[in-house]
Formats: sequence, C-alpha cells, structure tokens
Amino acid sequence: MIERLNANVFAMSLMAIAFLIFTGISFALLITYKILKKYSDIGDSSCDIKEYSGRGIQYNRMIDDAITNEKYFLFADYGVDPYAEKKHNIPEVLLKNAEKDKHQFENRGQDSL
Amino acid sequence: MAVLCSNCAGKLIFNPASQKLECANCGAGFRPEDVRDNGIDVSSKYYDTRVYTCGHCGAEIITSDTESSTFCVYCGNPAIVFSRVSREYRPDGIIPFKITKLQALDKIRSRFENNPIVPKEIAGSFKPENMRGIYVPYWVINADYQEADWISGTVKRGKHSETRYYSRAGEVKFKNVPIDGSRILNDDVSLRLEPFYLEDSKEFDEDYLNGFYSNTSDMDFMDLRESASERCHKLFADEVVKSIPKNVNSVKIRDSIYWADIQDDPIYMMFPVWFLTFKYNGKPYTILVNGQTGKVTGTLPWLQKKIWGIAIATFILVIAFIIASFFIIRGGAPEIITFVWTCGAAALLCTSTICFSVGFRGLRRILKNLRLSQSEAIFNFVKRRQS
Repeated sequence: MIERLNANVFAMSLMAIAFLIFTGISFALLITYKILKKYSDIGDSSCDIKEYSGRGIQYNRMIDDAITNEKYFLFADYGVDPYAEKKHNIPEVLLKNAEKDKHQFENRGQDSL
Repeated sequence: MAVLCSNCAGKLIFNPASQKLECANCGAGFRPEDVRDNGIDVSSKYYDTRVYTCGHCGAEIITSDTESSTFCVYCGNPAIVFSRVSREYRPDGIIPFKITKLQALDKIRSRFENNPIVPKEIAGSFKPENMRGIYVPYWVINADYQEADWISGTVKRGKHSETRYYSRAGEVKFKNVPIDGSRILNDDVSLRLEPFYLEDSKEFDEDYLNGFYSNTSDMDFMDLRESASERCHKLFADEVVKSIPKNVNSVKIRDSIYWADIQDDPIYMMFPVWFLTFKYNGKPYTILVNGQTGKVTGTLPWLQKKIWGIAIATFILVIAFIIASFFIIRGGAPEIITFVWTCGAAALLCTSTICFSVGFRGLRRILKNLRLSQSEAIFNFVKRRQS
C-alpha cells in the first residue's frame, strides 16, 4: 500500500517536474524568438495577393467540413494542367539561356567521357 | 561604352539623389536621356559589359567600365578577376536607384543603433566601401493561375478538439508579378526585397548602370515558369488560409496542386538593390536594401552568450514564478487549492503549448533567414539548384 502510494507520489513529482520544464522552455523559446525577431531579423515581410491581383482569388470550390473522399474528387478535378496545350512566344533571352544550358550540359557529358 | 562629360571629358556616374549623370571632375549634371551615347546603337538588342568572375563562389559580376570590381558582391571574397567583355541582352526597362549609398548605409545603421544583441564590432563593417549597388534582373509577368488545396484545422468541441478538413480551389489573374531572373540570388531573399513600384521604371539606358554593378538573367523559360508557379503559390496559399472560418485553429495546407501560365511577352527589367557584405566570426553576411524604397532585409548576427543568457533567465524566472505561486496558494482551503491548481495548470499548459509552437516555428524561420544572410549558404543552395 505504502509502496503504491510512494510510486504515485513519484509519478506525480515526475509529471510536475516535466510540466515545469516544458513551461519554462516554452516561454524561453517565445521570448528568445520575440527578441531575435525585433533586433536581428530585419525586413521579414513580403507582399500579399492584393498587390498583384485586383480581383483576388475567384473560388470555384469552397467546402467546409469536407469528408475525406472529397480530397480525391478535388485532385481528380484539378490535377491536370489546364494550360498544357497553350503555345508561347518565348523571349529570345530565355531561349538563348536554355541553349547555353544545353551546351554546358553536353560539354560536361563529353568531359566526363 | 563609357559616357563622358561634354565639358571636361570626365567619366559620368549616375547619382540616385539627383537622378542625373554627374561628372566626378567638374560636377556637371546631365539627364540620362539627354546624354548622347557615342557609338551606342540604342535600337540594338545588346549592350556591352565587363564581366568579373569570383574565384571563390564562381559568381559573375557585371559592371559598366566606370566601375572596377574589387570583391565579390555576393560572398565578399576579394579573389575576383576580370574575365571578359560581354555582349548582353538589353533589358526592356529599368528602375533607377533612388536611394543613395549613404542613405542605404544609414538605414542599416539605424537598425544597428541601440541594438543590445548585435555584436558591436560589426559596426566597423558598415562602411561605404563594403556597399555595392547592383541591378538585379527580374522578369515582370502576367499569369493565369489555378490552385486546389486540401486544408486541415482543429475546432474545439467542449474539452476536446477535433480535426476538420476544408477543400478550396480557385483561379487568379496575376498582373505585374516580379520574378527574380537570376539563379545566383535566392528566391526567398529576393521575395523579401519587394515591393518594387513599376511607376518609376524607365526605358533601359545603360547610362543608369554607370557606377553600379549589374547581373543578367541566366534562367530559361522552364525556370521562369517554375519560379512564377512557386511565387504565385505562396501568394495564393497565404490568402486561401484567410478563407477558413475564424474559430478554426492550427490551420495547415496539407496538399496542393497548382498550375501557372505565363502570358506572352514577360518584361525583362533591372531592379536596384544595395548589397552590404561583411564577415563576422569567419562567416560572410549579406544585408540587402531595396534601392527604390529603402527597405532593409537580412539577418544580423547576434551575441550567442547574451541570447542564451536571456533564454536561461526566462526559463528560471518562469519556474520560480510557478513554484512561488504554489507556496502562496498553499495557504488556502483544500477545495479552493485543488480548484485553482486544476484550472491554473490547464490554462498554463494551453498557454505553454501555444508559446512552444509559436516560439519554435519563429526561431526556425529566423535560423533559416540567418542561413540566407550567410551568403555562402545561398551559394550552396544555388549550386544545388543548378545541379
């Protein structure tokens, strides 16, 4: 009986210590992050979608509390590139860069032979 | 290629403060569009540059002939040699530097002053000679974009939380999105430099390059499409999360599928960026300043001992506070003690979990940003991407 009681007290103490350590580490992490963010990490922000799109997102599908099956329907419906067939006028700079890369790749291949 | 002063034949350098080409000898100023560039065919698709190669990181730095390169603007290494004269594609437009070197330096210094965690010895590195103005190549694109996201979040139901799923799909017509056109500059770094305002852009004239370095786009169409998709995905993902009801916590995009289509005729532009490179404890650091808006971006090194001291002191203080409150509450009636302790422990556990999550993720992000600022890491990343 006393042994069981001691075991319970021991377990409770361990839990209390773990709780104390976890709480201490959590607050220490948060404070350290806030200080580094303020004094060391400068300009960590970027633009949002409104900067580059007047109308924002036009939603085609917006389902809350979706069932798991919905994931497969979603990716089945949107899994194919809708722009795949479209032909592009590619600027000359980009075409030349692709040629340059191709030459470098071929030269590397010849060197390794 | 050099434009010379019509009064004294001295070399003309572009001054961002006056937006004029100024003669270093006689001080005369000329508007770039008024200067006659002898021997330059403005209708040509090309313009001449001098290329320097860094023996340390392999970067190529391009200058006009009024500027000679003494160290690599990317990794700060002095092992840089003149490589060749090169004919590069003429960009469609340019945003000239608006912020002068001294203004950019002042903006960096202002972040350093009264900064208790940054080592004082790096102040010596904030010198004009460590600062280089570089025109970074960008592609400004219009794109049709489609994305579908599978999102999870948790909702509280009494004492328990349950996971819920959200399905989102939509289209966006993006306009004038700047995509960094250089493989050498990490996309995460260039993203932080935004915004650039196209209202200030001018037709490309190499006179604007006088006194500055420049880089040319080394990506092909597939690279551009990939970078554009990633950029649009980030913009879309940040916005789609806002469409999830407010009572949902721990919102996370589990799976995404996205497609971007770049419209024809993307615009090839040069955007102005100031680079400050310095070394601390043998590691190189790069701080960037947007040459148009003056936005400073980068992660400064910090005093390790001080940060560890703050973390340990917080840890001890929090534990001391909890133990002290235990002894204070202990004096009350048993049922009140049990009630206060149960509620207090539950509240503290919830708060600690949130603090842990926010602190851990935030620190991970700062360490990632620090690695980006340590430009050798940028180069390792770039090499991996190139390979």
